[in-house]
Amino acid sequence: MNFTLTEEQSLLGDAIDRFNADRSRRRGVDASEGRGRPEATGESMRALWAGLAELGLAGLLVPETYGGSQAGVGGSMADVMVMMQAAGRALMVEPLVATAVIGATLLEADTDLTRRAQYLDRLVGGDLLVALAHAEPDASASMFRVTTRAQAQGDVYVLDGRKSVVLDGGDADLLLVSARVSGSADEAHGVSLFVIDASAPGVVRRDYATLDGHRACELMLDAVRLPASAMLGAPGEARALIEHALDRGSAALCAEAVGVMETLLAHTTEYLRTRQQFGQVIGRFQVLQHKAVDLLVHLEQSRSMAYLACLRADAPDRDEAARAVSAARVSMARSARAFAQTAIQLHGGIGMTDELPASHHARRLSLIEFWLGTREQHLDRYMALAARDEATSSA
Amino acid sequence: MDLEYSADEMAFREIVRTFVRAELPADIAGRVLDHRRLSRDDHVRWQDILARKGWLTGHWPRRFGGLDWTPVQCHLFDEETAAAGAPRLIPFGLNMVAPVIMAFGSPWQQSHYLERIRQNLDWWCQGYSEPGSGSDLASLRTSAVRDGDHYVVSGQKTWTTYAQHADMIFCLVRTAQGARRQEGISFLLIDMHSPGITVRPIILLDGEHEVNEVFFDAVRVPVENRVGEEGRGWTYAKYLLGHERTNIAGVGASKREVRSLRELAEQLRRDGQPLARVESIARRIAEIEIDLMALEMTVLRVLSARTEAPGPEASILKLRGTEIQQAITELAMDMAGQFALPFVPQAFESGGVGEGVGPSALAPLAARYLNMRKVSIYGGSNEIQKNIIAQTILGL
Repeated sequence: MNFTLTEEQSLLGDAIDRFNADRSRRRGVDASEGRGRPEATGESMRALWAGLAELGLAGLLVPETYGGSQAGVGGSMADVMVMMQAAGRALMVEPLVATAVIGATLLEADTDLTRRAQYLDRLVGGDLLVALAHAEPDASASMFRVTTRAQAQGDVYVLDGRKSVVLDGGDADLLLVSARVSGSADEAHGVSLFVIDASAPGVVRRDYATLDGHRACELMLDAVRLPASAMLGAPGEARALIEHALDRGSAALCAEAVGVMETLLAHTTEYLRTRQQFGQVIGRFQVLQHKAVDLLVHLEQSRSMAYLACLRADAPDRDEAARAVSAARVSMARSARAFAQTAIQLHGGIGMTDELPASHHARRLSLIEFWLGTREQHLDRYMALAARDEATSSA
Repeated sequence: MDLEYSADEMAFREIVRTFVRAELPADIAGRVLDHRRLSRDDHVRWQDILARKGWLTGHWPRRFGGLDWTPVQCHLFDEETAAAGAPRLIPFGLNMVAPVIMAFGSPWQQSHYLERIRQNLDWWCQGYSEPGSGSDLASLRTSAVRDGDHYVVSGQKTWTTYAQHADMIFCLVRTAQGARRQEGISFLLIDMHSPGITVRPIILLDGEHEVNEVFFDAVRVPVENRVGEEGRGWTYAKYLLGHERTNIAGVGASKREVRSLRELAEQLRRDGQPLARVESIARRIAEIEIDLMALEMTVLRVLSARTEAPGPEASILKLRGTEIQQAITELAMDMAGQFALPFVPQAFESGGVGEGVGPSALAPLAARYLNMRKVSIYGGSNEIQKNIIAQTILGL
């Protein structure tokens, strides 16, 4: 039982904070104001990403043999927790979850060793952006409904279907697409993962911004022809791998929410200490003090659950990992929403304005729970696993 | 960074588990697990068993006869004993006055009272609240007037838990009318068998006799029973509160009660179907379980970071711990439904099974729900905890 960061982990967190502070200084804004999209600030996203890769973020989860995990840090979800908390503090919008967490997890599982080495090398260097395209337009009820088909025609596969709200899919060089090679939409088996170059014929992307400052895309696959070798892993058996990658992504989001809350709590208490009404600072009013305490309690609970999610996401017992991650997601979703509501309320009218940095944090917290499975989906998953657990222990 | 217990800690847990399995009297465990009333003797018997093993004070430092258990060992001990249905340890001597005597008591108080607590010879209670001094404790008026080698104590304490069983009471009393109210307060250890003390029961809304009024009519207390300096009692009381709030998280007992909720959900049927399969109930159990996971992780974070007494973050544990305890009893009552209604006092007594209406496990649930409203009031109400957090952590 040990909750202490290693020295290297502390240095990693500090380095990211410094990177963000420097970037903010160049833009002439406060570090905690949040970053915003590079194109809106005249910076180059690729250049920024290269800078983050230099800090070791792109390859944080990638084993040292492929050039990742530099300077004594990396390779574990504990490191990801440190990275994502720092990302949350500065409201970073770079594709850390899509590429460094989910993308790296999937590519590391590639059984084609040559391709694995090539892609991971580029990913670590900041030269490859990856996106998992898994969710579909009518797949909201289940995290594992896949109707995109991959038809075997001789030695090629032909992919047809549509993927929805693909996190950072518009910028990605490489798309990892789940598609059904056999079975009906909801079957556990029969889903494969395909590695597709984003510029392949038949791939159409519609890129858009999300309300919380990130980007996603709709992905249309129209008779995309791929060699059999484009399949990553065993045919029809991608579910466990995708689930693990999504659980890591979920744990990363739990940690990010903690960082966002840290900054938003600091903004909010600062406002309570300075804003005057009725001839005194409003932080003197007990009714507001107690609401501020609610924020702190949400933050500390979320921090605890981020530990649980990150340190259990790679547990050898997959059910145990899934239970911990989904429990953390349920807890994070409830806390994030309540936190954002209360923080806006405590700011009053100014909290409603786009001009106030705190509102950007509140926006991220309001929407972060909808990435990679909603609160209800995670609660259902937790309950199903708890029931299964009960059944085996009584058997 | 890792969440696993060390091999030593796992071994410790196993030793505790084996001991509790062999030594915890079945009749006592049965009453705890069935939410029946416990007698003074039930508590004393179990604490005697632990005292003989040295485990009643395992969490104490060695120089006071303890075993220097680490915070994690204390947590494991709490979890294992609670899971098996052991009564909660009466904290007033063990966890509340003892740390104060260790830190501020005289050598005589340390050798005499700590040794007696260690051997489970005295039942302690706490004399803080007064009729006019609840959350505003510093306004207390029970007076102690110096008369030679004695203080003469007059006044009234209230909400005194188990005063009817107690041999000793630790009291905050006013020894001076200082400029600051906090400055005239002293900390006295008073023999409950002293002439001039009267204990009057207060029956709570669940029908229980748990708390009392304690009247002091010119009670003579030797000066050697004052802890530390005269007029510094407030400092000692604040020191004590930090200790009280960690115990109040109650993770071990809440884990046991969530298991009990799950069992109840398997036994009870609604329209022919076990409650465990009823979506609305299953969801609420799952959400409580998730909240409890977050609390346990927070407790472990606080424990492993801690070297000395816990700081204001203990207030967070008190808040969430009590909210969860209350949510559990609320859901249990909701599951009992119409069978929460019959009030058959005998059903709370041991051996009273069967006299109630409906499944016997349900008889105590509504009363327990009402009883557990206390946890967000005692030990510094949850609103007072929020004041503490707002001021000391958030700087408001």
